[in-house]
Amino acid sequence: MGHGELDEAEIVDHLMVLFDSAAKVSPGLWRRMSPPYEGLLKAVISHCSDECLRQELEALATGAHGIHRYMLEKAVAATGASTRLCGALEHVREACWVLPYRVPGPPPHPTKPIAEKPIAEKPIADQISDLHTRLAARPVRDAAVDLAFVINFRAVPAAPERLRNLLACLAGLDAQTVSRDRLRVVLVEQDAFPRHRELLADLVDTYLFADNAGTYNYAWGRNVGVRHGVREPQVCLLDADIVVPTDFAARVVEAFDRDVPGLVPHDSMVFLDSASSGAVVSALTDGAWNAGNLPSLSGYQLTEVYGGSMATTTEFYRRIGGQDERYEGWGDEDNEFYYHLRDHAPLRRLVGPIFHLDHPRPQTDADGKRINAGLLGQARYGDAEIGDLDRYRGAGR
Amino acid sequence: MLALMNPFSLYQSHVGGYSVDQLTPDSLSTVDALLDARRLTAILLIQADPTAVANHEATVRAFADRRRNGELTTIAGFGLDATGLLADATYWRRVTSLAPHGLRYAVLSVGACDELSESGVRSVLPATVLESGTDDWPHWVEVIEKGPAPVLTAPLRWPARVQPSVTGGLIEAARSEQVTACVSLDPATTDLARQADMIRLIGTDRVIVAPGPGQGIVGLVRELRCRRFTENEIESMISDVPRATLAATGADFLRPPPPRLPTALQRRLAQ
Repeated sequence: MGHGELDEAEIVDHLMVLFDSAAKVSPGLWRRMSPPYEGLLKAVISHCSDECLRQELEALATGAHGIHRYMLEKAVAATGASTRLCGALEHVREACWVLPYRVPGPPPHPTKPIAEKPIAEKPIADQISDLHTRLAARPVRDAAVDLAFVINFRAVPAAPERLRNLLACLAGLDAQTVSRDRLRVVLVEQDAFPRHRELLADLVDTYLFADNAGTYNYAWGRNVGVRHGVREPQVCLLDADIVVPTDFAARVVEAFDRDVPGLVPHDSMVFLDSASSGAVVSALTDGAWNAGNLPSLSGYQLTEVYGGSMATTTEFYRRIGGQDERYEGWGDEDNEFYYHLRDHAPLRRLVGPIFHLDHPRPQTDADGKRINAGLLGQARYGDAEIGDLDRYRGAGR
Repeated sequence: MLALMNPFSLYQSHVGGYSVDQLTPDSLSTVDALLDARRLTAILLIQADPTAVANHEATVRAFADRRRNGELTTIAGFGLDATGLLADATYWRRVTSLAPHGLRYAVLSVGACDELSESGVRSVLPATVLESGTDDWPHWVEVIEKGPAPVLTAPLRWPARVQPSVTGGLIEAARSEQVTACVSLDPATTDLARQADMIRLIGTDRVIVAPGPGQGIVGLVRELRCRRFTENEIESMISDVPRATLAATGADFLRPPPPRLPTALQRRLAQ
C-alpha cells in the first residue's frame, strides 16, 4: 500500500489537535472524530523507543498533565520510520473531518504587499471601520443579476466580531470575479430592533429587518430573505461569518443545470483562528483577497459539512418549503436542510474551501446533546408558511 | 451478480490504518454481511500487498467454505499486482490448495510484471488461464477476456498504455450486466481520473465502493465531485456495510443519513 515518507512535523501537528480546544468547534463532530486521533497517539506511544517519554505520553493520554509540543516532537522522533505511524496518520487524514490547516502564504506581492504586521493586533472596531470604508465605494447596479445572496445575522455590541465578520463577508462578495453588479445581496438583520440598518443598508441591494428579540432562528432568517428579498432564479444562502474565494459566485452559477437544483458550493470550511481572521480582513481591506494571494493562514479544516453556504434555485427552495423554522438556536438546521434538499432532488457539491472567520462560539450543546438533535428525522409540517415577518414580532421582550 | 472488491477495505475497517493483521472474526462477519446484503453469488478478490499473504489466505479459506456450502456459486479470482507474490510459487500453491474443487481462476496481473513473476505464475497456474506468459499487457488482458473465467478487475497499477484495453474490457462486462464493479482503491497508485471515467461509463447504479481508511475514498469522492457527479449518485455507490462499520469505530466517511431516511442500500434493495 502506498505509504508516504514519515513526516514528523505533520504527525506532531495532528497530535496537537487532541489537546487544542479550538479543534472542538463542533462538539458533536469532534466526538466522532477523536478516535482516529487517539489511535495516532497510541501508535506513537507503542512505537516510542524512549521508555521515559512513553510513560509521559501515557500519562498525557489520560489527561494527567499538560501538553508540550517538544515532548511530542521527541516522541515521534523516537519512533523511527514506522509504517504503522504513517498508517495511523493516513487514517486520520482520510477518516477525520477536522484537520489542522496551515497555509504558509505567498511571497510578498510586488505591488500590493500583505500587511506584515498581523491585522489581528488591530482592534476589532478599527477593522470594522476599514472594511466599511472600502465597502462604501461600491458601484451602482446597471446589469442583469446572475445570482442572489441571502445573508442573515445578528450582531450585538458584546460580540463585535460578528459585525466585523459580516462586513468581511460582504467584502468577499465585492471581490468576486463576477462583477458585483451581477450579484444581488439581500441582508436580513434579526434582532430586537434594526441595530445596524443605518450602517449597512446602503451596502447591500436589499436590507430587511426581521423582528426577533428572542432566540436566534437561522432557518427563519433565511426564509425571510428568500421570500421577501429574492427575485432572481438562483439564490445562495451564505453565513454571515464566511468569506468565499473570488471565483465562488462564478462556479455556483456554472454548477446549476436543469436536473440539479441544489448545491453545496464547498467541500471544506476552514475555521480560521483569530490572527488568520484578521489577516483575511486585512487582505480584503487592501483589495488583495484572491486565491493566488492568500495571506498566511492557520486554523482547522472541516470537511463534509453542510453549513456555511448552500445554493438552490429559488423556485425549488420555495417548492420544498425552504428551511425548517422549528430549528431555533444554533445547531443542525443546516443538516436538516441538506437532507431535505437531497430527498427532493439531486444535489451537487463543489470542490473548494470557504473561510470561516473567528468569533466567540455560540452554544450548540445542552447537557451534552445538540440543541436541535431531537428534531432531526421528524417530519415537517405540511404547507407551513415560511418567512413570515410577524412570526416573532413583539415576542421575547 | 459479480462484485469486485478489495478485501483490504474490510480488514482496515476494523483494525485501522494500514494494519494487515490476521483476518478477524469481525471482518468475516462484515464480509458475510456484505454478501448477504448484496445477494452476491461470487466474489473477486483483488489483492495488492505482498505482506498480506496471511490475510489473503484466510479470506480465500472463508470464501472457499462458503462455496462448499453452496452459498457462492460462481468463481473467485485473484488479481495480483505484487511482483513478489507472483514470483512466490509457494504462495500460489497454498492459494490453489485452499480452493474448493471446481473453483476457476482468472489472473489479471496489473502491476509490475517481469520474467520472474511470469515464471512464478506459470509454475503453478493452469495453462488454460494463462495461455502464454508475456509482459505484453494488452495480450494478457485479451487472455483474461477470453479465458474460462470472465473476470476483470479495476486494476491498481496499470501502465498508461494498457488502460484503454482494461477499462474497455470492464465496461464490456458491465454492459453485459455480469458485473457490479467495486473500485479498488489505493491512494498511492490509483488513477482516480480514470476510475471516475470508468464509473461514468458503467453507471453509478452498478458500482459499489467499499473503502477502508487511507484507501483514497476522499480523493475519489473529490474526483467524482469535480466531474459533476451528484451527491446522491456518490452516496448510492458507497458500500453501506463498510460505512456502518467505520461509523462504529468513529471513522465514518460520509455522514449517515438521519433515521427517517432509508440508506442507499435499503433503497436499492427495496426497488
